[in-house]
Amino acid sequence: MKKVLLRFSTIVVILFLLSLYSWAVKHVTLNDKEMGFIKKPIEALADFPDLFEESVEEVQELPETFVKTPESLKPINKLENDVKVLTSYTNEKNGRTIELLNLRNGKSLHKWEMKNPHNAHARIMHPLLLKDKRIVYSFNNCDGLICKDSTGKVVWEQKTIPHHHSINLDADSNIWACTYDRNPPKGFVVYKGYYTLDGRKFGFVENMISLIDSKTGDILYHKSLSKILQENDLTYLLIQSANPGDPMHHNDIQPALKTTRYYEKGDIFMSLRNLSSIIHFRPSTGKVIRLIRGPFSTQHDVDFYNDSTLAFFNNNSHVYYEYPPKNWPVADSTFQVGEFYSNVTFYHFNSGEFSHPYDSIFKANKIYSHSEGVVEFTKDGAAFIEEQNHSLLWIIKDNDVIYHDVLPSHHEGHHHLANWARLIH
Amino acid sequence: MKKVLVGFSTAVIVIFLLSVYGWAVKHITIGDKEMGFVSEPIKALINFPDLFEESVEEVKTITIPKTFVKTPENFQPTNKLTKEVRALTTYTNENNNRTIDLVNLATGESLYKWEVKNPFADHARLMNPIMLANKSIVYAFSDMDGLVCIDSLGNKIWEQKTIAAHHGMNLDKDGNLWTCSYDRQPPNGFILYKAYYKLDGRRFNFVENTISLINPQTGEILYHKSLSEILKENDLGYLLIHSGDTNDPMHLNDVQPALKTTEFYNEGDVFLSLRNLSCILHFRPTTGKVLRVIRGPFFTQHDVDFYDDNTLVFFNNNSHALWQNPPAQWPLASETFEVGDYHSGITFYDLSTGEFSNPYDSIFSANQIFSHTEGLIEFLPDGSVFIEEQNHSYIWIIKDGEVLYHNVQPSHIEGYHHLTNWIRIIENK
Repeated sequence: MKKVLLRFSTIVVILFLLSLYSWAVKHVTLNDKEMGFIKKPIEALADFPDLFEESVEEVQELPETFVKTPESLKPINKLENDVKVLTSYTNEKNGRTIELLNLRNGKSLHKWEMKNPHNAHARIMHPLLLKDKRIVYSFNNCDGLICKDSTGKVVWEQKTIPHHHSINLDADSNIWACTYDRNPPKGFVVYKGYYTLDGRKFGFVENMISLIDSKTGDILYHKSLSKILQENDLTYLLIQSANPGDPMHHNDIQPALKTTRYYEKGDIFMSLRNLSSIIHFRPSTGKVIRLIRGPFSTQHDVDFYNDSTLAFFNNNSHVYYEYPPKNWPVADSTFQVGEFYSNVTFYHFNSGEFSHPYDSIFKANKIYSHSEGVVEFTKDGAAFIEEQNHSLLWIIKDNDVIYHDVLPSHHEGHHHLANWARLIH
Repeated sequence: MKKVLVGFSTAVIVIFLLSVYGWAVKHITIGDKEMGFVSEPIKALINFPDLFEESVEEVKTITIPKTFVKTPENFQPTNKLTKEVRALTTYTNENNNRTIDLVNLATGESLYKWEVKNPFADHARLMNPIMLANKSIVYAFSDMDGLVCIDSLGNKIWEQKTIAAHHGMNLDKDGNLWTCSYDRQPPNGFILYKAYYKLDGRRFNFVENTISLINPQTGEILYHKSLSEILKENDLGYLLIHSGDTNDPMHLNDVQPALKTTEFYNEGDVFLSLRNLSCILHFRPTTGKVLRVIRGPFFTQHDVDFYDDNTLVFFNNNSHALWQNPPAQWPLASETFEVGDYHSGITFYDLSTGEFSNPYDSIFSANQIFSHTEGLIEFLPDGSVFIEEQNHSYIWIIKDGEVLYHNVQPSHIEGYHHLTNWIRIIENK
């Protein structure tokens, strides 16, 4: 009897301790209770199998700069004219190649090779081709900007600011770049701004915009996006973001190259993914001229379609990747409200209206990118689309797919992760 | 040496098992991996301490239902009212039933009472009841049942239980009653995931909301329409993707009918407040058309009213769609700066210009008025504004930048006041 009691008590104590441990893991995972010094050890224990699995996968699998090519992929190439695109990818030496390609015939027109001093997944995103085949690039979210000549020699470096996402030239051939401030020794993605809501302090990721002299790498203009919002009474937008830690998530700066009825040369259009907003900003005055919000969500890559129209890649996605719960009590009879994919959205300055002329062809081809994505227009009116998450390239003209392919890699069954391929006119 | 080795091996095995078990707990908590049959027993272990804590709390509060709110010890009421302000309130009475009480806030005097039995949970709420002629009352147990109409003595006149009602009710020009509703689906209840949208091939079912127009004499349904259908028929389905809550993307909380025709709306139009889309829809039931989607510098709003012929006014909760806890260990920069200090507010929308204004911002900030969910405002004939700060269940009347009234609904439980349930101001006639 004593033994039975002892065993029973032992089981109760073990279950109690396991329950306490489970409770602690749950709240450490949810980060909703202060756990003090036990937080780190618990995190280490609970994360170890995932880290182990990731390590095994890393050894077994390719870096994330390669994407599995669907077996069903059927490339299309009906291009009659050259389409030159500046691409970047992981080469056989695990370095990075920036390559100017002609999509019509797959011919390589020029290559630059870079060593990769960062992790295996580090990406060179949206490099910029200047005169004399000089190239400006960065390891996205890892480091600052570098300019190299056609032979790969460094012309300048600007490492006081880390760069991320896009790079675009203004009318004076200076470079607008999405950036962060540095905060040594911790790195650079810092929670610098905060707002207080009902007395609770919400720190959030700060985004910066920088204008760089393309000849020297000097910073000509550098400004905090939080300050821009604050100075223009727009900080209320931050509360609406579904991601309080990274409420803005700036992904593009498109400078106006001329003055029209709707904008001035030097104005910029900034795409803020997590606010599903585009901000028309005038750096010369510090004023936000227009806040563009509407039937688009988590967009990328704002461009000028013509003097009175913006065009951008409308990801049309949730801020976070959402999994539909499985056990909802669904009614006996249900109906579908809509079927959505990504699309190209046009914003018409003269009316303030939006249109989505590529909706049907995006749906027909199931073109969707939860994050990232590029759209550019060729001189003959075709739309070049980078469906970034799947790393599929498309060229669509007159509602017909005239090009559809991937960037083939040296790993069989895998293509290169697309890194914001740039159309070179 | 052998003992050391055995001890070391045991420690490694225990740590390994704890790690695997911790990993399972982590992924069950996040819900991103299928764990099969072990899932439920582990969940029971995970949740046991929280359940235990909750039970202790429940015992501690002597099973005080959530229809009571703890009154802060430093709470100081204000009452500078010089005129009668009649408010139709509801609360949990000593019999654990519900009382609908017409109260004069200036004196605290009860002017009339109705008692309603509570057949539902302890926390069931009678929200925003409406008083008709001859002191008849229409009420619903919000989110639980349909509408019931009783006379001044509490005798039932009619009931409409083919739909379930929730949130606000409002009378239209003809004296009919607009209500936020759900479809029923016996025997499962009524909050149904009836509509869905597909995004990138993934099917997202979501909570359906309906709007209903009720004949107050008979309880008969005169109009009943699905909000998802309204969105679909007006090419507004894309709004659902913008919602901060994919499960309950719309969250209808008010139907405000236009009582006359002006330059900006027709008599019979309704303004629908959709919390989780932070938008207000101007809808015309006669044509099925959405005339305007109102979005702007306001979030998770409640209680849309007409301020004048060309201005809407509403309670701007100014909150995240889902309650957010600021993470405790963010890598803050060595120098930080504040971009704004926010509370709830009252937002005016000018239908003629499409512009918004927030004239009560400073007094809301000064008094830290904030309600993450719910909330109500009502302008009184003398220009003062009545505010229900619902989550804390504080009542305010503000005029010319001054707090004229600030109090709670006192309850029979010491240290607690009544949870407010969308008090309705009754104008003196």
